[in-house]
Amino acid sequence: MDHEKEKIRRKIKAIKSLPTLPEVAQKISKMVEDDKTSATELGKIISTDPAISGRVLRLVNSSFYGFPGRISSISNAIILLGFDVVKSLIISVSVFEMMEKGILGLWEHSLGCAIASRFIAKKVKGCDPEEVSVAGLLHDIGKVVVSIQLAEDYEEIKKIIDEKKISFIAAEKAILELTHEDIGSWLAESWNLPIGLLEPISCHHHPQQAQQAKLATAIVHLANFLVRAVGHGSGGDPWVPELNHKAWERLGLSLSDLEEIIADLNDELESLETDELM
Amino acid sequence: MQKISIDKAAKGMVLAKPIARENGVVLMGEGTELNEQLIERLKGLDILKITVKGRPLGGEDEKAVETLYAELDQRFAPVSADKLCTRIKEMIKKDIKRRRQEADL
Repeated sequence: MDHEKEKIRRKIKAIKSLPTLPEVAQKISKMVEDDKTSATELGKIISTDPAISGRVLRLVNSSFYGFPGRISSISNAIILLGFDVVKSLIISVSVFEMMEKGILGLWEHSLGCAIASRFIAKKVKGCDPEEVSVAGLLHDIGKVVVSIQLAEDYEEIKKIIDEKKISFIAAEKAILELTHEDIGSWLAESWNLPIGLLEPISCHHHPQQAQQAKLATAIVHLANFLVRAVGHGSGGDPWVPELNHKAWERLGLSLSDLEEIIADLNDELESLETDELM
Repeated sequence: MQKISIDKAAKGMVLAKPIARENGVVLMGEGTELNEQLIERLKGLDILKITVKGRPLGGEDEKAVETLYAELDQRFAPVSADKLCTRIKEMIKKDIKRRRQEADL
Protein backbone atom coordinates (compact mmCIF):
# COMPACT_ATOMS: atom_id res chain seq x y z
CA MET A 1 0.00 0.00 0.00
CA ASP A 2 1.26 3.44 -0.91
CA HIS A 3 2.41 5.09 2.31
CA GLU A 4 1.94 8.64 1.07
CA LYS A 5 -1.64 7.93 0.09
CA GLU A 6 -2.37 6.33 3.42
CA LYS A 7 -0.90 9.33 5.21
CA ILE A 8 -3.03 11.75 3.21
CA ARG A 9 -6.13 9.65 3.86
CA ARG A 10 -5.51 9.87 7.60
CA LYS A 11 -4.81 13.55 7.41
CA ILE A 12 -8.10 14.23 5.65
CA LYS A 13 -9.93 12.09 8.15
CA ALA A 14 -8.36 13.95 11.05
CA ILE A 15 -9.07 17.39 9.57
CA LYS A 16 -12.65 16.57 8.67
CA SER A 17 -13.29 15.46 12.19
CA LEU A 18 -11.69 18.45 13.88
CA PRO A 19 -13.84 19.23 16.88
CA THR A 20 -15.96 22.32 16.29
CA LEU A 21 -16.14 24.89 18.98
CA PRO A 22 -19.38 25.61 20.79
CA GLU A 23 -21.40 28.46 19.32
CA VAL A 24 -20.48 30.87 22.08
CA ALA A 25 -16.75 30.29 21.48
CA GLN A 26 -17.20 30.96 17.75
CA LYS A 27 -19.08 34.21 18.45
CA ILE A 28 -16.36 35.30 20.83
CA SER A 29 -13.61 34.57 18.32
CA LYS A 30 -15.24 37.05 15.94
CA MET A 31 -15.88 39.66 18.64
CA VAL A 32 -12.31 39.54 19.91
CA GLU A 33 -11.07 40.59 16.47
CA ASP A 34 -13.31 43.65 16.48
CA ASP A 35 -11.59 46.60 18.19
CA LYS A 36 -14.91 48.12 19.14
CA THR A 37 -15.96 45.22 21.34
CA SER A 38 -15.99 46.12 25.03
CA ALA A 39 -15.26 43.81 27.94
CA THR A 40 -18.85 44.19 29.13
CA GLU A 41 -20.29 43.16 25.76
CA LEU A 42 -18.00 40.19 25.56
CA GLY A 43 -18.78 39.24 29.14
CA LYS A 44 -22.51 39.30 28.37
CA ILE A 45 -22.11 36.93 25.43
CA ILE A 46 -19.99 34.51 27.42
CA SER A 47 -22.43 34.57 30.30
CA THR A 48 -25.18 33.31 27.97
CA ASP A 49 -23.51 29.92 28.26
CA PRO A 50 -23.57 29.22 32.01
CA ALA A 51 -21.64 25.95 31.76
CA ILE A 52 -18.75 27.59 29.95
CA SER A 53 -18.69 30.76 32.03
CA GLY A 54 -18.81 28.69 35.21
CA ARG A 55 -15.81 26.65 34.14
CA VAL A 56 -13.87 29.73 33.08
CA LEU A 57 -14.51 31.39 36.44
CA ARG A 58 -13.49 28.27 38.32
CA LEU A 59 -10.29 28.13 36.29
CA VAL A 60 -9.36 31.78 36.82
CA ASN A 61 -10.06 31.47 40.54
CA SER A 62 -7.97 28.33 40.93
CA SER A 63 -4.29 28.12 41.68
CA PHE A 64 -3.88 27.98 37.89
CA TYR A 65 -3.84 31.77 37.96
CA GLY A 66 -3.21 32.54 41.56
CA PHE A 67 -4.83 35.96 41.67
CA PRO A 68 -4.97 37.17 45.24
CA GLY A 69 -8.69 38.03 45.17
CA ARG A 70 -11.75 36.26 43.84
CA ILE A 71 -12.83 37.11 40.31
CA SER A 72 -16.59 36.98 40.40
CA SER A 73 -17.64 37.98 36.90
CA ILE A 74 -16.55 37.22 33.37
CA SER A 75 -16.17 40.94 32.60
CA ASN A 76 -13.67 41.21 35.47
CA ALA A 77 -11.80 38.21 34.14
CA ILE A 78 -11.60 39.87 30.72
CA ILE A 79 -10.30 43.11 32.19
CA LEU A 80 -7.67 41.29 34.24
CA LEU A 81 -6.60 38.72 31.67
CA GLY A 82 -7.30 40.37 28.32
CA PHE A 83 -9.50 39.29 25.40
CA ASP A 84 -7.09 36.80 23.91
CA VAL A 85 -6.48 34.90 27.13
CA VAL A 86 -10.20 34.64 27.91
CA LYS A 87 -10.90 33.46 24.36
CA SER A 88 -8.20 30.82 24.74
CA LEU A 89 -9.58 29.77 28.11
CA ILE A 90 -13.00 29.24 26.57
CA ILE A 91 -11.43 27.13 23.86
CA SER A 92 -9.55 25.21 26.56
CA VAL A 93 -12.60 24.39 28.64
CA SER A 94 -14.50 23.36 25.50
CA VAL A 95 -11.67 21.10 24.38
CA PHE A 96 -11.28 19.54 27.79
CA GLU A 97 -14.90 18.61 27.90
CA MET A 98 -14.01 16.38 24.99
CA MET A 99 -10.69 15.44 26.54
CA GLU A 100 -12.23 13.80 29.57
CA LYS A 101 -13.39 10.98 27.30
CA GLY A 102 -9.95 10.57 25.76
CA ILE A 103 -6.66 9.79 27.47
CA LEU A 104 -6.95 9.19 31.19
CA GLY A 105 -4.83 11.71 33.07
CA LEU A 106 -4.35 14.06 30.10
CA TRP A 107 -6.37 16.83 31.76
CA GLU A 108 -4.19 16.62 34.88
CA HIS A 109 -1.08 16.59 32.70
CA SER A 110 -2.29 19.64 30.75
CA LEU A 111 -3.26 21.62 33.82
CA GLY A 112 0.07 20.72 35.44
CA CYS A 113 1.87 21.87 32.31
CA ALA A 114 -0.04 25.17 32.41
CA ILE A 115 1.00 25.74 36.01
CA ALA A 116 4.62 24.81 35.29
CA SER A 117 4.60 27.13 32.27
CA ARG A 118 3.40 30.00 34.43
CA PHE A 119 6.10 29.41 37.08
CA ILE A 120 8.81 29.26 34.41
CA ALA A 121 7.44 32.32 32.57
CA LYS A 122 7.54 34.37 35.77
CA LYS A 123 11.31 33.86 35.92
CA VAL A 124 11.97 34.48 32.22
CA LYS A 125 12.16 38.00 30.84
CA GLY A 126 10.13 39.06 27.83
CA CYS A 127 7.09 36.82 27.95
CA ASP A 128 3.49 37.03 29.12
CA PRO A 129 2.89 34.42 31.88
CA GLU A 130 -0.88 34.39 31.24
CA GLU A 131 -0.58 33.60 27.56
CA VAL A 132 2.24 31.12 28.11
CA SER A 133 0.21 29.23 30.70
CA VAL A 134 -2.69 28.89 28.25
CA ALA A 135 -0.19 27.59 25.69
CA GLY A 136 0.82 24.99 28.28
CA LEU A 137 -2.80 24.09 28.87
CA LEU A 138 -3.43 23.53 25.14
CA HIS A 139 -0.10 22.00 24.07
CA ASP A 140 -1.47 18.44 23.78
CA ILE A 141 -4.87 19.18 22.16
CA GLY A 142 -3.71 17.09 19.19
CA LYS A 143 -3.82 14.06 21.47
CA VAL A 144 -7.51 14.62 22.09
CA VAL A 145 -8.15 14.18 18.37
CA VAL A 146 -5.88 11.14 18.20
CA SER A 147 -7.62 9.44 21.11
CA ILE A 148 -11.20 10.25 20.11
CA GLN A 149 -11.39 10.76 16.35
CA LEU A 150 -8.72 8.22 15.43
CA ALA A 151 -9.81 5.73 18.08
CA GLU A 152 -8.72 2.59 16.20
CA ASP A 153 -5.27 3.98 15.54
CA TYR A 154 -5.07 5.05 19.15
CA GLU A 155 -5.54 1.44 20.25
CA GLU A 156 -2.59 0.47 18.02
CA ILE A 157 -0.54 3.32 19.44
CA LYS A 158 -1.18 2.15 22.99
CA LYS A 159 -0.24 -1.39 22.01
CA ILE A 160 3.15 -0.56 20.57
CA ILE A 161 4.01 1.84 23.41
CA ASP A 162 3.53 -1.15 25.67
CA GLU A 163 5.28 -3.73 23.51
CA LYS A 164 8.19 -1.73 22.15
CA LYS A 165 8.63 0.65 25.09
CA ILE A 166 8.63 3.70 22.83
CA SER A 167 7.27 7.18 23.49
CA PHE A 168 3.76 8.29 22.50
CA ILE A 169 5.12 10.53 19.77
CA ALA A 170 7.34 7.76 18.35
CA ALA A 171 4.33 5.43 18.34
CA GLU A 172 2.23 8.06 16.55
CA LYS A 173 4.88 8.37 13.86
CA ALA A 174 4.98 4.59 13.46
CA ILE A 175 1.21 4.16 13.23
CA LEU A 176 -0.12 7.46 11.82
CA GLU A 177 2.99 8.92 10.19
CA LEU A 178 1.91 12.16 11.78
CA THR A 179 1.83 13.34 15.36
CA HIS A 180 -0.28 15.26 17.85
CA GLU A 181 1.95 18.26 17.06
CA ASP A 182 0.75 18.21 13.42
CA ILE A 183 -2.87 17.70 14.38
CA GLY A 184 -2.63 20.31 17.14
CA SER A 185 -1.32 22.88 14.70
CA TRP A 186 -4.24 22.23 12.30
CA LEU A 187 -6.63 22.74 15.18
CA ALA A 188 -4.88 25.93 16.27
CA GLU A 189 -5.01 27.25 12.70
CA SER A 190 -8.65 26.41 12.21
CA TRP A 191 -9.49 28.13 15.50
CA ASN A 192 -7.40 31.18 14.57
CA LEU A 193 -5.26 30.96 17.67
CA PRO A 194 -2.43 33.51 17.90
CA ILE A 195 1.11 32.44 17.03
CA GLY A 196 2.03 32.54 20.73
CA LEU A 197 -0.27 29.57 21.23
CA LEU A 198 0.13 27.93 17.83
CA GLU A 199 3.88 27.41 17.95
CA PRO A 200 4.05 25.89 21.44
CA ILE A 201 1.30 23.48 20.30
CA SER A 202 3.00 22.57 17.03
CA CYS A 203 6.64 22.55 18.25
CA HIS A 204 6.67 21.56 21.93
CA HIS A 205 8.72 18.45 21.14
CA HIS A 206 10.87 20.32 18.58
CA PRO A 207 11.32 23.78 20.10
CA GLN A 208 14.10 24.59 17.61
CA GLN A 209 11.44 24.69 14.88
CA ALA A 210 9.58 27.63 16.38
CA GLN A 211 9.98 30.73 14.24
CA GLN A 212 8.31 33.54 16.19
CA ALA A 213 7.23 32.36 19.62
CA LYS A 214 10.62 30.82 20.42
CA LEU A 215 10.56 31.74 24.08
CA ALA A 216 6.99 30.55 24.71
CA THR A 217 7.74 27.29 22.89
CA ALA A 218 10.90 26.73 24.94
CA ILE A 219 8.94 27.37 28.15
CA VAL A 220 6.19 24.90 27.27
CA HIS A 221 8.84 22.37 26.21
CA LEU A 222 10.48 22.56 29.64
CA ALA A 223 7.12 22.66 31.45
CA ASN A 224 6.00 19.51 29.64
CA PHE A 225 9.24 17.80 30.70
CA LEU A 226 8.88 18.90 34.32
CA VAL A 227 5.27 17.89 34.81
CA ARG A 228 6.11 14.45 33.42
CA ALA A 229 9.23 14.36 35.54
CA VAL A 230 7.36 14.92 38.82
CA GLY A 231 4.89 12.23 37.77
CA HIS A 232 1.68 14.27 37.63
CA GLY A 233 -1.07 13.16 35.23
CA SER A 234 -0.42 11.22 32.04
CA GLY A 235 0.66 12.17 28.56
CA GLY A 236 0.02 8.68 27.18
CA ASP A 237 3.33 6.98 28.04
CA PRO A 238 5.15 6.58 31.37
CA TRP A 239 8.42 8.41 30.57
CA VAL A 240 9.82 11.92 30.48
CA PRO A 241 10.21 13.26 26.93
CA GLU A 242 13.58 14.26 25.50
CA LEU A 243 14.89 17.54 26.85
CA ASN A 244 16.21 19.96 24.25
CA HIS A 245 19.30 21.65 25.69
CA LYS A 246 19.12 24.59 23.28
CA ALA A 247 15.62 25.37 24.56
CA TRP A 248 16.87 25.20 28.14
CA GLU A 249 19.73 27.59 27.31
CA ARG A 250 17.38 30.01 25.59
CA LEU A 251 15.49 30.51 28.86
CA GLY A 252 18.63 31.73 30.64
CA LEU A 253 17.59 30.13 33.94
CA SER A 254 20.00 28.99 36.64
CA LEU A 255 19.82 25.58 38.28
CA SER A 256 18.67 27.22 41.49
CA ASP A 257 15.83 28.90 39.55
CA LEU A 258 14.86 25.45 38.38
CA GLU A 259 14.95 24.09 41.92
CA GLU A 260 12.53 26.81 43.01
CA ILE A 261 10.26 26.11 40.05
CA ILE A 262 10.14 22.40 40.95
CA ALA A 263 9.30 23.18 44.59
CA ASP A 264 6.58 25.70 43.61
CA LEU A 265 5.16 23.28 41.06
CA ASN A 266 4.96 20.38 43.51
CA ASP A 267 3.32 22.55 46.18
CA GLU A 268 0.77 23.85 43.68
CA LEU A 269 0.00 20.38 42.31
CA GLU A 270 -0.55 19.12 45.82
CA SER A 271 -3.02 21.89 46.58
CA LEU A 272 -4.74 21.19 43.26
CA GLU A 273 -5.42 17.62 44.35
CA THR A 274 -7.55 18.91 47.20
CA ASP A 275 -9.59 21.14 44.87
CA GLU A 276 -12.36 20.11 42.57
CA LEU A 277 -11.45 22.14 39.60
CA MET A 278 -13.62 20.99 36.75
CA MET B 1 0.68 19.37 56.10
CA GLN B 2 -1.86 20.11 53.42
CA LYS B 3 -2.58 23.19 51.32
CA ILE B 4 -6.34 23.59 51.03
CA SER B 5 -8.73 26.10 49.58
CA ILE B 6 -10.52 28.31 52.07
CA ASP B 7 -13.88 26.72 51.20
CA LYS B 8 -12.62 23.48 52.77
CA ALA B 9 -11.39 25.11 55.97
CA ALA B 10 -13.09 23.87 59.13
CA LYS B 11 -13.11 24.57 62.85
CA GLY B 12 -10.21 22.92 64.65
CA MET B 13 -7.72 22.96 61.77
CA VAL B 14 -4.32 24.39 62.70
CA LEU B 15 -2.30 26.64 60.40
CA ALA B 16 1.00 25.06 59.37
CA LYS B 17 2.16 28.25 57.66
CA PRO B 18 1.39 31.86 58.50
CA ILE B 19 -1.10 33.67 56.29
CA ALA B 20 0.47 36.74 54.80
CA ARG B 21 -0.36 39.40 52.25
CA GLU B 22 1.82 39.59 49.13
CA ASN B 23 3.67 42.53 50.75
CA GLY B 24 4.66 40.25 53.64
CA VAL B 25 2.26 41.56 56.28
CA VAL B 26 1.28 38.57 58.44
CA LEU B 27 -2.47 38.29 58.98
CA MET B 28 -2.50 35.12 61.06
CA GLY B 29 0.42 33.29 62.58
CA GLU B 30 1.53 29.69 62.23
CA GLY B 31 -0.11 27.46 64.83
CA THR B 32 -3.38 29.41 64.90
CA GLU B 33 -6.33 27.10 65.51
CA LEU B 34 -9.18 28.04 63.20
CA ASN B 35 -12.72 28.69 64.33
CA GLU B 36 -15.77 29.86 62.37
CA GLN B 37 -15.06 33.50 63.10
CA LEU B 38 -11.45 33.30 61.86
CA ILE B 39 -12.49 31.41 58.71
CA GLU B 40 -15.08 34.09 57.91
CA ARG B 41 -12.46 36.75 58.46
CA LEU B 42 -10.07 35.03 56.03
CA LYS B 43 -12.84 34.79 53.43
CA GLY B 44 -13.52 38.48 53.93
CA LEU B 45 -9.86 39.20 53.31
CA ASP B 46 -10.06 37.32 49.99
CA ILE B 47 -7.59 34.65 51.10
CA LEU B 48 -7.98 31.66 48.76
CA LYS B 49 -5.54 29.07 50.13
CA ILE B 50 -4.28 28.12 53.53
CA THR B 51 -1.80 25.48 54.69
CA VAL B 52 -2.89 23.39 57.64
CA LYS B 53 -1.21 20.73 59.77
CA GLY B 54 -1.79 17.05 59.17
CA ARG B 55 -3.87 15.77 56.26
CA PRO B 56 -7.42 16.74 57.30
CA LEU B 57 -8.78 16.24 53.77
CA GLY B 58 -7.16 12.84 53.50
CA GLY B 59 -5.99 12.15 50.00
CA GLU B 60 -3.98 9.26 48.64
CA ASP B 61 -2.19 7.06 51.06
CA GLU B 62 1.32 8.28 51.16
CA LYS B 63 3.76 6.14 49.27
CA ALA B 64 7.10 5.23 50.82
CA VAL B 65 9.89 7.56 49.74
CA GLU B 66 11.75 4.58 48.27
CA THR B 67 8.76 3.79 46.04
CA LEU B 68 8.66 7.40 44.85
CA TYR B 69 12.39 7.28 44.05
CA ALA B 70 11.99 4.02 42.12
CA GLU B 71 9.11 5.45 40.07
CA LEU B 72 11.19 8.54 39.39
CA ASP B 73 14.08 6.39 38.12
CA GLN B 74 11.69 4.58 35.80
CA ARG B 75 10.32 7.78 34.35
CA PHE B 76 13.85 8.97 33.66
CA ALA B 77 15.11 5.66 32.21
CA PRO B 78 15.10 6.82 28.54
CA VAL B 79 17.18 9.93 29.33
CA SER B 80 19.66 8.37 31.80
CA ALA B 81 22.63 9.37 29.60
CA ASP B 82 21.63 13.06 29.63
CA LYS B 83 23.50 14.97 32.35
CA LEU B 84 21.01 17.85 32.58
CA CYS B 85 18.12 15.41 32.95
CA THR B 86 20.00 13.55 35.67
CA ARG B 87 20.55 16.84 37.44
CA ILE B 88 16.81 17.57 37.30
CA LYS B 89 16.07 14.09 38.59
CA GLU B 90 18.28 14.79 41.62
CA MET B 91 16.41 18.07 42.23
CA ILE B 92 13.10 16.22 42.22
CA LYS B 93 14.48 13.67 44.67
CA LYS B 94 15.53 16.50 46.94
CA ASP B 95 12.06 18.02 46.68
CA ILE B 96 10.37 14.71 47.52
CA LYS B 97 12.48 14.68 50.68
CA ARG B 98 11.66 18.32 51.48
CA ARG B 99 7.92 17.79 51.13
CA ARG B 100 8.00 14.64 53.20
CA GLN B 101 9.86 16.41 55.98
CA GLU B 102 7.39 19.30 55.94
CA ALA B 103 4.46 16.89 55.98
CA ASP B 104 5.87 15.21 59.05
CA LEU B 105 5.95 18.46 60.99
